[in-house]
Parts: sequence; structure tokens; C-alpha cells
Amino acid sequence: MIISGKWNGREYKLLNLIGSGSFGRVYRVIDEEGNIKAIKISEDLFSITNEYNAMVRLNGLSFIPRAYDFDDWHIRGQIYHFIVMDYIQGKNLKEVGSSNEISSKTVFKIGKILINILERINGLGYRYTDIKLENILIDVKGKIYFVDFGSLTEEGMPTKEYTPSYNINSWKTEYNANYERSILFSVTMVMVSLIGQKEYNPLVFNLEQVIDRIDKFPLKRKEKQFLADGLRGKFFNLSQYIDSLVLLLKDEKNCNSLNKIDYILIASIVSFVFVIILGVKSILS
Amino acid sequence: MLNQIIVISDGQSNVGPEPSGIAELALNKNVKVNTIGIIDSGRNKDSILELENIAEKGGGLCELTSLDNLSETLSRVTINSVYSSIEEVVSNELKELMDLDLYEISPNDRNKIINMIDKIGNEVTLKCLILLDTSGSMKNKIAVARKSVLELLIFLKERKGENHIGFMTFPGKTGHYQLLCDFTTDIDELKEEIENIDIGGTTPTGHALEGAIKVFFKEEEEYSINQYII
Repeated sequence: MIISGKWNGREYKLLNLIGSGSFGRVYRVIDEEGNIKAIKISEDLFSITNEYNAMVRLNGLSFIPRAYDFDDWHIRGQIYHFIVMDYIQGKNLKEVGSSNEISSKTVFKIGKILINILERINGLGYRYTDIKLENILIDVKGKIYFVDFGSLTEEGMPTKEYTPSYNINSWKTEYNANYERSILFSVTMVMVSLIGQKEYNPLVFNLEQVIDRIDKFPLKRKEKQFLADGLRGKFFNLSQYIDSLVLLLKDEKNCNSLNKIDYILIASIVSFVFVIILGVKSILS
Repeated sequence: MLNQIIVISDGQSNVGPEPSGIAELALNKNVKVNTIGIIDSGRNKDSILELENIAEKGGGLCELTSLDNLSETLSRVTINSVYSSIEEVVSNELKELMDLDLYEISPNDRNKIINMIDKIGNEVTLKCLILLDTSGSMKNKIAVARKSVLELLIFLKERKGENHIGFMTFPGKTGHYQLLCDFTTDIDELKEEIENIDIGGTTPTGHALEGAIKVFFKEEEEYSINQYII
């Protein structure tokens, strides 16, 4: 099937469906020059226009697909609106998380990159509010991309879209968090979901129950503490958070740190030696 | 000012007037009626159809959701209803004043109008009455519904415009419906008022919609002559 734009007149041949949701559908297409692109089609004029505007404002950033065309498509008496953008060959974090086991080191690396991306977006005067596994893509070379910009809002404008699992206000309904704190929470929750291979719904769990789960993760004590602190809002700003993340990644590299089991081993050796000394002493006396 | 009703239900009305007719009355009085259907494992086609009809006649949106996604759905329906109401007003004005169809404008020019809708949507005063089905089948869903309403309040707080939120259950303790909290901008007040929700009884959706309309036009009624004849 061919999609033809009413205003700009460009045509795209549909190849296959990549994804769908309440917003509409995303297809892989081939344009008139033979390039592979992705196309997002929706009936919702308001939301897709907002999304296109957001992509244009962020065009040029290396971690988002570039937008090329925005047009209407009239077919069988219906009007659809579409955005043409870069096709990224890869998997979203939900697919990655459910099919392979990702090492905790990789997850912390992803966390650090996500913080950087969100900081860059915020630096341009925008907030990305719908952080979730499906909206983060890893391409075949391991590069991270953000997709779906329907939730991008100018600073000072209200949130339009969010996903409760990663939204601080859905967990802690007592107060309104600022953007920095809400980012820290979301990114921490992304890491928790990836390591635990499960997404937590705030309508089913409370935060302390999630932290109990973290305690059972096969991680070092420090790493568990970091995740729990991130969810509890113990970090005051992004740089403090990044510093802790960098420290965890460094630790991982050197592998110098001692685990609980090491301490037990040392303690038992020391007490063994101590008992022998006592024994020898008592024999001698 | 934007007036909207949001009906949250998991079943079909079984007492009182046909609800979609009442939803039409509400729309005539400029109150949009939106519906959210909570879908259990056993899908009831008739109750889904009824909720879709109510929204259609009431000029609003209908979304179906599992209980786990109720909070997200409630926020989305509320805010989408705000923007689609404004889009409707703006596109009607365009047609009337300039004989222009929003869809017949090039994306570039349309952009300015969309930005305007975005701005008005943020600033407009919202009056929203939530109608929660509290019949017997909702027993295990009420805690989640309460949490979802609180989440909605925090979500709306980011808007520049005022949010007046009210909360009604159907059936009520003594009648077909009960206004647990009248329109308020105070989250804490609403939180307190919806702490204790009684469950059990029939599903009088039509009566509840009638009651909801009354809540919107209470002031008007207070000054109407009907009050004095009695």
C-alpha cells in the first residue's frame, strides 16, 4: 500500500507494521528515493501535531530519530496524519529486558545515558514525561534512542502523558516532585524493572514492597542501596545521583570491593586462627 | 469554563432511565459525558455498548481498561476530553467566522491553531464531576478507583487553569446516588471525603447522570422559581 501526502506530495510504500497503540500505528516504509524510514500514523490531529513539533525542536540531537515529513493522507473518506522519521533497527528496552538477561553493569550504564539524555532535553527547555521501557530503543550497535515524543512538553506546560510505573506522582501522591527528582525516580525505576525483569504497577504495589524486592536482587549491597535511595528520593540533584552511578560503575570495573561472603570468610579464618592460638596457649600452660 | 462528567463503571445500568438519553440532556446543557469501562476477564458486550453509547450521546470519550491501568486511563480521558472540547469549539469558530475547515488547512498554518488549542487547554477552568459505580461488583476495585482519583488530582494540578473536582457514587447510601464531595479545588478536602465509600446495591447509571446534571446547575436551581412555589 502507498501512503501519499496531501500537502507535500511525497509517497511512501508500506513494508510492515512495527508497533501500535492508543496513539495509532508505526510502519516501516520505503520513500521515493529508496530509503527505509519509519512512519507514524494517527487520527488524533492534536496529539500528532504536538509530537511533530516536539521532534522538530529536538531535530539534530543524536539520540532521537530525525523527522522528515509531516502530512495528511486522505483515504476512503478518512483523514490520517503522519510523521516520517528515521527508522531505527533495534529493540526497545521492554523487548530487550524480557528476552535476555542484561548484566547489572549494562543496566547502570543505560541509567547513566538516560540521565544525560533527559538532562540535554531539559537544557533545551522541555520535559520528557512519558519515560517507559517501550519508549527507549537500543539499536544494533548498542546506541540508545528515545522515541515517542507525544509527551514532550515545554517547561511550564502541564504533563499530557505518563506511565504510572515510572511516574513519581503515581507512587508518592503526597507531594508534587520537581522535574529533576521525577527524572531520577523514573530512571531508577527503569533500572529496577530491567534488573528484576518485571514492571511494578503502583496500583498493585507500594514503594516499600518494591524496595523489598530490590533487596532480593543478586546485586552488591551498595547497588541495592543506590536503587532504594533513588526510589525513596534520597538524592537531591542530578549530579549527586550521577556521581553515585559513576562510582558503582567504577567499582564494577576494578572488582576490588568485598562481598558479604568475603567478610564471612575472613571472619571465620580469623576466629579459626584465634581458637588455635587459644588451644596452643592452653596446652602450653 | 469546561464542564465534564466522567462515569467509571464495570457493568450495565439495571435501574432507572436509559442513561444515554440523560447523557444527551447533559450535552445539551453543555456538560460533556465521558465513560471509562473497567473490563474484567469476562467481557460483557452489553455493558461496553452502553458505556460507548453514553459517551457518544454525551459528546465525550469512552475508553475501556483493565483495573491495573485505571489511573492512567482516568488521567488520559480527562485531559483528552479537555483538549478535544476546545478543538471542537475552535474548529466551529473557524468554520463560522472564516468558513475554514481545520482539516483543510496546510499543516504549517494549522500548527498555529494547534498551539492555541494547547494554550487554552492549559489555562481554561475545568469543572469535572467523577461518577463512580459502587454497586456490589465494584467491591474489590474500589481501593484502586480511589487511588486513581487522587492521582488524577495531582496530574491536573500542573495545569495553569483551576480544577474544580467533585465526586459522586452510585448507588448512594440512601438514594440512587450520593454526592460525596461537591466541586472543590482542595485536594486534601476531596481526599478526606472519599476515604469512606460504601459498596453494594444496583447500578442506576441514568439516575446518577440526572443527579450529576443537578450538581452542575445547583446555583441556577436555587434561584429558579420552582423553589418558591413549594
